[in-house]
Amino acid sequence: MSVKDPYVKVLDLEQTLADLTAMVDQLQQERSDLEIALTTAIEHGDAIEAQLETANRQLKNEVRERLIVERQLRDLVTTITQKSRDLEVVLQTITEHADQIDLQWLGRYIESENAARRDSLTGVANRRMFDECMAREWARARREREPVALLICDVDFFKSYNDLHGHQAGDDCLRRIAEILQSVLHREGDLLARYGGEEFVILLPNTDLKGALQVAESVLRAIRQAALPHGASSVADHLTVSIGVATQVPADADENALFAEVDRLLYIAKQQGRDRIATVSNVPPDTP
Amino acid sequence: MQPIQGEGYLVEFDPNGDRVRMSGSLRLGGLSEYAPISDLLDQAIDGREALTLDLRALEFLNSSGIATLSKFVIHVRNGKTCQLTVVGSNAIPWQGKSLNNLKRLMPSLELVFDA
Repeated sequence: MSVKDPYVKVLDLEQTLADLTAMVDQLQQERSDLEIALTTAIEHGDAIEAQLETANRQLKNEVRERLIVERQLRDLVTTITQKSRDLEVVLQTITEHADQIDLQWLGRYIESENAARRDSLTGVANRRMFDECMAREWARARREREPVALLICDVDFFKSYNDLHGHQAGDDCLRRIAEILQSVLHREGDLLARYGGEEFVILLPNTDLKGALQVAESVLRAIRQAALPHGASSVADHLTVSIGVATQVPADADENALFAEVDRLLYIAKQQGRDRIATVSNVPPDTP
Repeated sequence: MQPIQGEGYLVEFDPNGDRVRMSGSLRLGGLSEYAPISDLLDQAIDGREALTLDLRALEFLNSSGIATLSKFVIHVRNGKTCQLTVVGSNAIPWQGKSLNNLKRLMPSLELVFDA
């Protein structure tokens, strides 16, 4: 075993001391580094936390604002939806209302149109409607080469009737005469009209003289059978009528020729004593 | 409140009966000509808990008129303070459908028809 001398031993201790010192320095350095790292990490964490806190606060504000906006939008949608629903109902109300009013006007129009073509006393067609029908039937008959028959019935001594029985009775009489004349007509298209005063016309489309005479005789018979009392007639003790009858196949557009002919025949029936029918078969064409 | 009167129509407010009566034939031209009637209706419901709109004698009402009534009904409904009653007549053809449509705008509206 070797034994070192004291000098060597001192050298070893110095060396050891130096090593230890170096180690201490290193450890101190490491410790310092660790402290810096730790401090840095802590400070960094604080900064991140603060940042997150700020971001969190901002997000919360944003969420709150968005909830407010959402609520406002919901209210707006509700309002708009309600207004839209209201508008739909108002539109429907106005449209249906307009339709109802149209119907109301149409009804009044039809009523007034009918009234304009009806005789207010007797309810039968008036002269206006007769003129329209006559023109229409005349044109149709001319096209199809068919006869058109016309009767003019005039109540005999009607002025005397009015003078004796009064105008109210005169009106009642005309109503009754209209009913009787109407009861004689059975074909669709035959038209009875009050032409004016105590004068009635009967238009018989597509009817020859024989058919027209049958209608005229039915009228005369029905009036006689009704035996409406007439206290001022010089031909009977009841109401009578005189009738002119003619028929023509239209040769031109002038329907007035037929009317003039029937009017002439009526005049002759009156001249010949009333309460009768005058037609071309019993009256020569040139009789005034 | 002064009645509004024109050719063939009358709109009057009866404060005692809480009632506005419309009668005759209302054919004014456009919503602007209905503005005075609209104002009368708005004043009639102001501070009132109940109002009756009596249309039994209103024989004719044009489209602008029904639009004015529709707007008034919506106004009353949105106000939520006034109970509205509309009295109509079965004898007047336009009232049946049109007044029922007003009830669609305001379900709480009371609709009464006279025979």
